[in-house]
Order: sequence, then C-alpha cells, then structure tokens
Amino acid sequence: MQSAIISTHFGAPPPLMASDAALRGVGPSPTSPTPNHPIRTCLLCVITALIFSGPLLFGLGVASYFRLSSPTQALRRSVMEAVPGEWDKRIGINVGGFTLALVRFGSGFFQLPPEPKAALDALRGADVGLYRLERPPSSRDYSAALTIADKSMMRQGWERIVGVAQRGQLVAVYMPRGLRADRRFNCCVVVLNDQDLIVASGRGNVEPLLDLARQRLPEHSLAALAFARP
Amino acid sequence: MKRLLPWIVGTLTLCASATLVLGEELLPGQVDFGAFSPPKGDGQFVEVNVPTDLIKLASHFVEKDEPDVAKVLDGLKLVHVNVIGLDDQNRADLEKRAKKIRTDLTGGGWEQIVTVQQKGQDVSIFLKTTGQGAIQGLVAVVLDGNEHAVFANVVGDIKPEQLAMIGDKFDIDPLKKLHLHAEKSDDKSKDKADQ
Repeated sequence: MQSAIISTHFGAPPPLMASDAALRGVGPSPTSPTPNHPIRTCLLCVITALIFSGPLLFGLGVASYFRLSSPTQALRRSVMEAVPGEWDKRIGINVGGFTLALVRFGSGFFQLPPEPKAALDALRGADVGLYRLERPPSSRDYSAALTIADKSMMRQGWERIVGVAQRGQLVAVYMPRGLRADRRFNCCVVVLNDQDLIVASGRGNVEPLLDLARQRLPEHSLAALAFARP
Repeated sequence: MKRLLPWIVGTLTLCASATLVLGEELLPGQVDFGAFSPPKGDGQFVEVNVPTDLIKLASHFVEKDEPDVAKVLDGLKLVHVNVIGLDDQNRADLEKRAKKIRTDLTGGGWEQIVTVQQKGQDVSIFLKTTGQGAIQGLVAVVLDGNEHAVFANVVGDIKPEQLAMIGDKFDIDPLKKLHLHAEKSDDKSKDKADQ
C-alpha cells in the first residue's frame, strides 16, 4: 500500500488534459521541438496522393479522347441495334472543352484563315465515331432505326429535327428539346451510308459562325444558317 | 395539412405521369399526322421538324437584314413537313391517310382554301383561323402522282402566299414546290380568264 502511494507521487506525471493545460497556462516551452502542423500534414497527403494518382488521371484523360459522349453512344447503339451485323470500329474521337481551349490558345500565335478560326471559336466540344458493317445489310428498313433512335434520344431529352432516308442512306439530326435562343448549339447527327455509319455530336457557341456566314453569305438561304448551326 | 400532403403529392405525381404518358398537348393549328415510316425500297423519306426555339433563333438572325422575313418567322411556332416516296406497298395506305386527314380537317373547322386535282396531282391546302380572323395554322396535303406524298403543317400566323417563302428560307423543297403549284394554278386561271 505504501509503495503504491510513493509511486503515485514520485513516478512519471500523468499527461495533462488539454483543458487542464489551457486553464493552467501550460504549453510547450520555446526550446521544445514544435509539433507537426495539421495543415502541413494534409498538404503532404494531398501532394502524395496527386503524385500517385497522376498517372491514373493522365490515363483517364487519354482514355476520354476515345470515349464518345452519352448521346452519341445512345445514337450509335440504336442504329446498331436496328441494323444487326458485325460492326467494326474505325475511329472514335472525343475532343473536349479543355483541349479545344488549348488549341484556341495555341492558334492565337498563328495567322489562321477566318473559316477555321471561326470554327475553333465556335466549337466547345465534339466527338465522332466511324464504324463499318462487315457485310452489307440484308435489308434497308430504316424505319426501325429511326424509331429506336427516336425513343433512345427522347429519353435523353433530344428530339429529331431532320430525318432523311433514301437509296441506302439515312441521315438524322437531333437537338435537345427546349433549345434556348442564346446562341448555344448542341446537336447530334447520324449518317448511315450502306455499310458505313458515322455518329457525331458537337456543342458550342454559334455566334462566330453566324458572323462569318453573315459576311460571306449575305444572300444565302436561311436554311444553311438555321440547319448548319447545330 | 399534414394529412393532405400525401394526397397532394400523389395527385401531382399522377398528373405528371399522365402528362408523360399522354404526351404534350397540340398547339392550336397543329395537326398530328401520325408516324410515317420510310418506304422499304429506295423510296424517298424526308421529315423536317422545326420547333419554336429554332424558328426564334432563325428569326433573331435575320431580323437585321430581312426584317419582313423576321416578322413572318416571329409569328410561327412550328414547321413540320413529311415527304414519303410512293411505292406499291405504301400507296394505298398513304392515300387512305391523306383522305382521312382531309376529312378530319374539314370536320374540325379547317377551311380548304386550295384544291388542285390534275394529271395525277392532288393538292389540298387548309387554313385554321380563330373567330377574330387570325390564322392559327396551315396544312398542305399533296399526293404527287406516283412519286410522293407530302404532309406539311405550319403552325402560327402564316398566309398561304408566305408558305413558299418559308420553304425558300428553310430550304424545304416540298414547300417551294407548293409555291410552283400555286403559280401554275394562278397562271392557268389567268389564262382561262384571258380566253
């Protein structure tokens, strides 16, 4: 019992609670080593995570160039469902806003003709996919293709503006429903020419293109401006 | 109020579902021709559907250079055109549908303002007006011999003579052809009058 009391009084002092230290005005002495700051620790963690996730992000970024946007994929799936067969992918490219912004920045250092400059200024993102059917389709019933594509795009909030089918060719243009007249365009196009399928979508600002059209095509019909816009 | 809340939410959900299932309401002057399918063979199939927003955008663009055109476009709400190539498989169906549309329009208060029947061509143009005389919509049904059938609906304040201009401006060939039909029929009526 005695020894227990002695050890309590003369042993290592128990650690002070933070509140106790604050109340007594006790803190680390100027000569003692400073403890690790929590912000610095967090920063180190973030930097480490970035270093390790860098390759992963880079990989995802590169992969995104080859992944079509959601409406384009829906359109492609619809047509492939309606025209069954072995579809061979030729090209699939998706260029986003960041890449186009870099291209715009880079093109500022060069003297570009007005047409490509207007196109670059207008475009905020685009993707295109090219596919080929290995064997010619057994039938050219494009009504199924249009019906399936319409339903699929409708679910995504798009409606068909133009649909043309003639002599083994099918062209359909879709635009988002409730388009606002604020010079922003967004459209999706599918072209099926016998064995070749092209699906593409584009989004951006139509103002630069309209300005160019106004300068170059003063007497041209409105259709070129209205339908070429999306 | 707490007891009513589930009923209110339920009613609103049912209304929203019904709207989705039944689709959107038609505008005054709008006609639902139904769905058309492309011909099985190499026949022509064209469907153009220019919604209000796109018309507004077009109007906004031309208002400086062509104010008259912009004024016409401002009055429009929808342009819908179907062109279907006629073949042995769809001819009977399309002729039947054209006949039904004409009957429905006549019975639905539409006024038939143009009728041309010559050399296999069968053209009818209908106009829908309000009690005050304002035009709500226009429908053109054309069976062009053995070539194609055209179903066009322009919703809004549009006069028949402006139809060709809409065709020109939006590059919709069937509407341009309607202009030709009108010119031809005008010429013929003039010739007859001169004789």
